[in-house]
Amino acid sequence: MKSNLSAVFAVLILTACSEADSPAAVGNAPFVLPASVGVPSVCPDDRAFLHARYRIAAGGETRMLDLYRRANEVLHVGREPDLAEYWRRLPNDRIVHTRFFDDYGRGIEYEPSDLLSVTGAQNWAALSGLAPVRPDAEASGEGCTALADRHTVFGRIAYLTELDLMAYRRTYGATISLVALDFDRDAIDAAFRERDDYPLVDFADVGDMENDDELARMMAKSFMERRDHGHAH
Amino acid sequence: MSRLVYAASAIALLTAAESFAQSAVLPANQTGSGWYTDARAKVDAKAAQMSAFQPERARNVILFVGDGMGISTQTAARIRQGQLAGQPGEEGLLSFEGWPNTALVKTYNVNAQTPDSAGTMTAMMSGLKTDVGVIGVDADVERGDCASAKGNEVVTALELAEIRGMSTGIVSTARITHATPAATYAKSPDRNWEDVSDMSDEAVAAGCIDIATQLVEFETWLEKRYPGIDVDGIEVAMGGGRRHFLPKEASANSPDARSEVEGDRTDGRNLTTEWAERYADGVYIFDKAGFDALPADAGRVLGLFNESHMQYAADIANDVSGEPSIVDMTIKAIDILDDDPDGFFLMVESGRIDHAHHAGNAAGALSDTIAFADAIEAAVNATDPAETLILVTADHGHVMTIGGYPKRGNPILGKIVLVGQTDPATAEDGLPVTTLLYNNGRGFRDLGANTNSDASYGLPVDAGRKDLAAIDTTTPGYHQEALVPLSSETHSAEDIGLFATGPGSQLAQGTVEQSVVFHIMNEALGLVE
Repeated sequence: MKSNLSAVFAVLILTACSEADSPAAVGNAPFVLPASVGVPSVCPDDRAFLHARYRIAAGGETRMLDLYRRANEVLHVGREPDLAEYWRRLPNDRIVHTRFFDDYGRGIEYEPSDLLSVTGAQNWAALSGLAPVRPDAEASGEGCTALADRHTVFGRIAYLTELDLMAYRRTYGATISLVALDFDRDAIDAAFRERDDYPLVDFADVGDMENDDELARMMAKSFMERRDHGHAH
Repeated sequence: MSRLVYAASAIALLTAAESFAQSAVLPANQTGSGWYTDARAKVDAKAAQMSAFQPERARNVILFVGDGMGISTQTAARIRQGQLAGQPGEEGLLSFEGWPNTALVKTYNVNAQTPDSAGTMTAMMSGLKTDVGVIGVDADVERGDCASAKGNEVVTALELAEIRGMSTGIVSTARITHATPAATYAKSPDRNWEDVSDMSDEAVAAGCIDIATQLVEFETWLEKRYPGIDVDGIEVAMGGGRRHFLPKEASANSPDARSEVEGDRTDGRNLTTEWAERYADGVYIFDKAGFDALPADAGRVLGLFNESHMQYAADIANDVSGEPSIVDMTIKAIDILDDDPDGFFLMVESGRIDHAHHAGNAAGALSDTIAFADAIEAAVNATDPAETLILVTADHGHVMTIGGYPKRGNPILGKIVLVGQTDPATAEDGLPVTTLLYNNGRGFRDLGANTNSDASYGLPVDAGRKDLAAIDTTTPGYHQEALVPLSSETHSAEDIGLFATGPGSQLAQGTVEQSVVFHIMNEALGLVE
């Protein structure tokens, strides 16, 4: 059964829709990022490596999502229980996608697809910064804390422009909020290494593995959170 | 005795001795198999039926295998090819379809009505049917059980060609360790044992060897199995599957690696460097530039052009470092192999017809089939028809159907427009229908210009009828509707075609077991007397 939060996440992260073009509401107070998040005033030299922790909330449910960024790689952990998703951007602007299934200790590897695939799900900004659209509002603040904040008819987007990272988004009654940020290179490397030993199945081979029941269950799980958003933008 | 007569006698004696050696390497479990003897008898009976039949010996054999290229795929590809040339399409032929010698081939495996590539290619390469999922072993093996493989290995036509002193080659657009190419050189109770990391500790401890290692150590293992023989190894191996040859270390990555760590091997071995050390005359290449730079006198080549499978024909331009096409690889392989006065054996697989079908993308399957036909045409043009037997076949079909009543020349990827009509017809549900449909699989997707058939795997299964009125179903990224929802479209159990030209090709006739393919090649080359 698909959880509400999974659907919410799909909407929050995987939809670009047209919020950036929507007319902004007026009269709201500026968004303020809590100091507890730990955004430094001066950005580290290498901001391609970061770990951002988010709280997703909708309908009384909450879930934590960890986003790890390492140069041309991104790892999402926690958007679904026992599921981690990994993307790597190739020099030719295509993206390799791997789903790791922690409960099976295995992964499914997808063929590289276009950077801007028809699903909108492969928009690199959406993956690496949880920002399917970059708000076109002028940023306030300085250095790493520079924040672009925009209200839309659907909700609100706050975006750390120097880090290319979503700070806050509210849409369709759900919110995703940045709650912690760090640049600990060793911890980030460790997070990427954690699933190194999982055997991977190339998706093109699934048709030849019809007797692999575990793989069938993994594939079914892959799409539990996606059913609500198969169309292109 | 004149020198000429003496030479002829010496050759005859030598040939007899070689034949003896050849037949001696065939294990009793292979020659005693009912599948083997029945298929052999079928070929003998066919020869006897032909009053004018004179055994024709070929110098070379090229076996082309379109993975998943069933009859409906051929028909649709033929029409697509013609339509791409501005013709109605139905009247044309793929390059090999005009050959006079053809047969229908029954593809079932010993334990499966609908087969897989491992069992079917073992039948074609070794002359006996076996179980689904196993490679180069007979049906007494239990899949995944290393111990059960011992003593049940069978010999392949490629191995017999090697022992005979011929040059040998393998080309595939899939991983070179994938089931079809693997069945030419490997023995494995599980097709998925492509490298050591795919195997259980138990299987490794029991002495089973992963498929990639068997390729690189082919010469050693063949000589070990048959003491006294002296072979020089496979001259040409080109395809994908680099990950199975490289250690799981970033330092071993190729320049165009798509993963942070490209290699999968957990034993620390780099089989590409081992291969290069083993063969001083060999050239290891991994991209189009390396392929193009191959010296004209290259005696041996190992080309691994992708971490996994090579690109779909329609998607080849999207490869990071570029890849040679199946036409390029076929021509290059022949160029390298045909210098051998003892002749050559070459297997060329179009591996991704199958994958596009599994993904439910007919456009991709037809595109790869047309590229495959181009490679066959190129091979015909590059060889002497008097001395080269060329066989074209598939391992199995797929559940793609061509139906409805579209008018002549209707786009094969399009919606059905009836005879005398201009607008798409609708079914009882009021919706348009495409000519090509899948019986099962992932179902409808409109992915527009996307040429990567596998893109649909990133989206949920969506089987059943859809409103296609506003959809252009002729785009590369259109995925046909499927009746039964499955995570992947399946193989079919129907017969596939066998097309033959050259010496010995007249034995391709009737409806035959797939194991007969080996015996036709054997008859033409005289591998086993």
